[in-house]
Amino acid sequence: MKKVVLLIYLKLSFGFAQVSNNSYLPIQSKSEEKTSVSTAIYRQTEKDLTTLVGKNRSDYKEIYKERADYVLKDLHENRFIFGSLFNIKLQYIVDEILLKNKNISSNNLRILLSRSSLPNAVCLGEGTIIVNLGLFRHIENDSQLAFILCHELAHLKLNHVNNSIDEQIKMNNDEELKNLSKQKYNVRSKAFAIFKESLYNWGKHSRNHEKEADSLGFVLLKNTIYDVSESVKSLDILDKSDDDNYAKEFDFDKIFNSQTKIFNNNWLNEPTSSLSIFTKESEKILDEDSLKTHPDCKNRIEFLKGRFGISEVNNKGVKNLETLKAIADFEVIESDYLEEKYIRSLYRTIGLLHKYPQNTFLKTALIRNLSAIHYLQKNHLLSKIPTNNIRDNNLKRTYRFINNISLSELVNLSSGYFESIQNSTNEDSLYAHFLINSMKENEIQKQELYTNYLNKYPSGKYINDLKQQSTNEKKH
Amino acid sequence: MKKNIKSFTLILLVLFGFTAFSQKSTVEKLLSVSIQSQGPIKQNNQAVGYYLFYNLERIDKQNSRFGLKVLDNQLEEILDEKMTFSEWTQLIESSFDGNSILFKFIEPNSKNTSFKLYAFGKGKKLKLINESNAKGYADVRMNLFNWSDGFKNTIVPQNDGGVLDFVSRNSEKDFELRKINAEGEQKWEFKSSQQYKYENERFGYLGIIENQLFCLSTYSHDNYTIGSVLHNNANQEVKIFDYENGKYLKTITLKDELYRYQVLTAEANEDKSKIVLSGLYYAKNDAFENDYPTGIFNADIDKEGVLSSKKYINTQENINGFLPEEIKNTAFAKRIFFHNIFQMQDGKYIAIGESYKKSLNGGKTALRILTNSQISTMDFFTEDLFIVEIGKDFKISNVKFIDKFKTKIAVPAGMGSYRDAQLGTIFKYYNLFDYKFTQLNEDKSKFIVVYHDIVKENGEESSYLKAISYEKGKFNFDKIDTKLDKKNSFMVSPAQYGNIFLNTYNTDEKRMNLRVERLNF
Repeated sequence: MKKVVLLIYLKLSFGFAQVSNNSYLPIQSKSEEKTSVSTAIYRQTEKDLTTLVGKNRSDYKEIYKERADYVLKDLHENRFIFGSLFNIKLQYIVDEILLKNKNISSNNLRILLSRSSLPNAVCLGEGTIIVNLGLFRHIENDSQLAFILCHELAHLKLNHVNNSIDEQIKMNNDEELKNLSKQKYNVRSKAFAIFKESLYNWGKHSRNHEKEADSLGFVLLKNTIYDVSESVKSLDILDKSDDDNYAKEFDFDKIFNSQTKIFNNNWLNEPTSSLSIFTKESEKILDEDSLKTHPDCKNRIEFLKGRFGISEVNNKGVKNLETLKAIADFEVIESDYLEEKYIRSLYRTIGLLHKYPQNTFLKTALIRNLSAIHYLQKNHLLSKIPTNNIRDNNLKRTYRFINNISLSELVNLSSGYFESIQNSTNEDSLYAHFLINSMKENEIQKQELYTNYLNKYPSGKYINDLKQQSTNEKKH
Repeated sequence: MKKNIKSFTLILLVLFGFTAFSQKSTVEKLLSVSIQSQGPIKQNNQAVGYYLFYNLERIDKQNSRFGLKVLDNQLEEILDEKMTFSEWTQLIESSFDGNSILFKFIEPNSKNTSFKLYAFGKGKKLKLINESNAKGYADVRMNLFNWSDGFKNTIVPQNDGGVLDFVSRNSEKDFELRKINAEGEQKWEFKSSQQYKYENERFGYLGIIENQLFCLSTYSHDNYTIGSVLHNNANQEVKIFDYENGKYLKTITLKDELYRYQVLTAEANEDKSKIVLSGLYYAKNDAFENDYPTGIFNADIDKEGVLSSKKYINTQENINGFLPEEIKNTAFAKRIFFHNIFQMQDGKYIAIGESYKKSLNGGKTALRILTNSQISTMDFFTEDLFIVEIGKDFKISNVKFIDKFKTKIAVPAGMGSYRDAQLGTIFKYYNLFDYKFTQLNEDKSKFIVVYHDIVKENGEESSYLKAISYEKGKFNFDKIDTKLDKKNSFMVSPAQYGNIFLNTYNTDEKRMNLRVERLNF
């Protein structure tokens, strides 16, 4: 145990150095584990398929395959991270939970860290539990993380996912529903009525499942070294996790116009539309809570308090995940970029630049995302995005900025921004310079910068991007 | 690569994900919808939104429940309404008058056809404002020889908040024009059968001069129905009405001792004392349906209906000087089909044309077909695009030649002997040319032409939508890969200036994707 603690301390110390005011080195995921995970999932699925009996076998087969593909596809596209500090932390906590709860089997258990920036975790029901990187941007300590893992393990133990699959297949093979397709009149209304009821029942089951998982999760947590009172705090954090913790209102002027005024605030304007006098109010059908990533958290908190006698949400807990939180803040920018969510990555970059204005990784990330957006728009792979239903005002303004700026303005903005920040001796800067020349279609200069980068940074963090873009392969 | 497209997707498939994984077949079939009609919503010839009218389900033997969805130019939802109509109802047109969105439905049943006009106003309620019935089946197709976009509108909002409604009533061999006031009451109506007897007549709105309403009448004197391609003796006239009471005043023939005229666009002059007509002119004894136009004309019509200030460009002779060397010949200049003619802010006129020809079947598969029945030994090709700049002196100042893939259209059996000009009119009617539309910005200082083209890359042919913009004398180009193949089809229509609505449909997934695509100018 002492050895592990020392190792973690050293890793964390090293980890902290990766995040600074100056730059950031994204996580280099170890790909060896990818193969073993793929094989395990594939084998598990095959095993599950061979045990299928009964009349709806083909339905189950379809779902099980879809479930496996859901993970295998992301594995193939490098959407999971292996061998990082986050993985070590997760495994350490899971080991403690399993050690103290012998009734939870570790057979076929896989804890995967997804690059997703959404603050969430999910149990797939066949042994895979996925924890999103985005979660680390919000949770404060090991106990909170431990409760979330206990919750997911409880879902697995209680077989909730497979029960839901059973219900769904039952519904889909419902005789009443099947008979509807033979009818001529009012088919859709009747189908919708059946669905609505099923949806309501499913919602009820889902809430019950969450309560059960919270309840069993609490019990599992209680057996460990972690603080059970942090269970309600973790739900409280998730309840507020739609707030990305960036500046209340982005100052685009401040970010872009360090010396010369290059950002046009008209780009942030709500687009004019003759029909805007009729703009429909949003959220008529669903209530505020149901739109959240984590609905129902308040009810779950009250349930846990009532069930287990926990006092009010405790804000005095230890915050020992600050380092990982800081790394996650940067890494989700990289993650969103790798997942080709360039506008989201841009939004996060601008958000973080408010906190680290001199960070060269962030400054380059800004240009990198603008360059990617430029490529997409130039090739008509980025259509206009409706913004009325985007709840976060900064995100909405970022989308509007991209909706409104023209292609030539984008080039001028990126170029002007680069000129105000350039430092040709720095790796980030050199790559940014390459991107600017790519946007301007200056092939000769682009090639020179490419050669220059290769010579100076043969194992640099942008080497793959650079190689793909220099051969005009479609990176984006 | 993975696309980063966010777009509005009509719920053809309703996703109720109970778990992370969902099964689709029974659910999708029961909850899928079918699109009945769709298109842009216009205000003063500018697209301000998009409508989708779709069939949800049949409710009894005659009737169905429909959905009407309206989106603005940013794809934000404005209206989502459920309505009950007879099964074959179509939403044929929508326009915005600044206060209300107007919708014109045609609802046929076994005995009559009902035209229904709905309005969606600031009260945010969709209401029926007027209804008119015609005996039998009313054919709403446009006249073959009236292909200009400006004359396809059958509801024309008026400055006084009312609307002019053009209604065809074929079984009664009648064309009807009605004025409906802002409250939805019919103020007056004109029925052509009470004044004269024209076959296959269609009206187009020209304008108003001093309380006199000018309409373009396009008709033919034969027994063919409006949708037929065999019309003879097609003609155009201007009909003048008293705007206050709908009284028919007079007819102005669009021919003189030398020429006959086919109007493509009309616009009020600066002081609104005249209407300026632009279009094509033919030798006096030539026919719209058979002969090539001699060229482009421009003339004023005053409140008395007197045509004056006539100007002509003989395109057959004058365009040649501007063509590339290799295609400088008289026959080529004849075979330019003029899709649109309009005036810009600086007084210049622009004519958009597309050359075409008929030739013997070369064996290669046609890109487009008119009908699935037998084809003839002839093919029809649409060739290159032309943007003709015409100065204030009404002389050609420049011709921009745009090289384009030669699109082959299979000529149906029985039409192989038709003349090129006749085939051109027929294929224009069925929208088979590559030219799609022109967008003119609000102050008429710039325009964009959108057309379809095929690009050969690495030995493969890919379908593209191309756009040419014109601003301050300069042309710029952009293109969009449509991914058109056996599984995907697309529809394109103008959105806010500089943007298009692109609607792609995947037949495998039965999924429609509507997006607003910004052109890179």
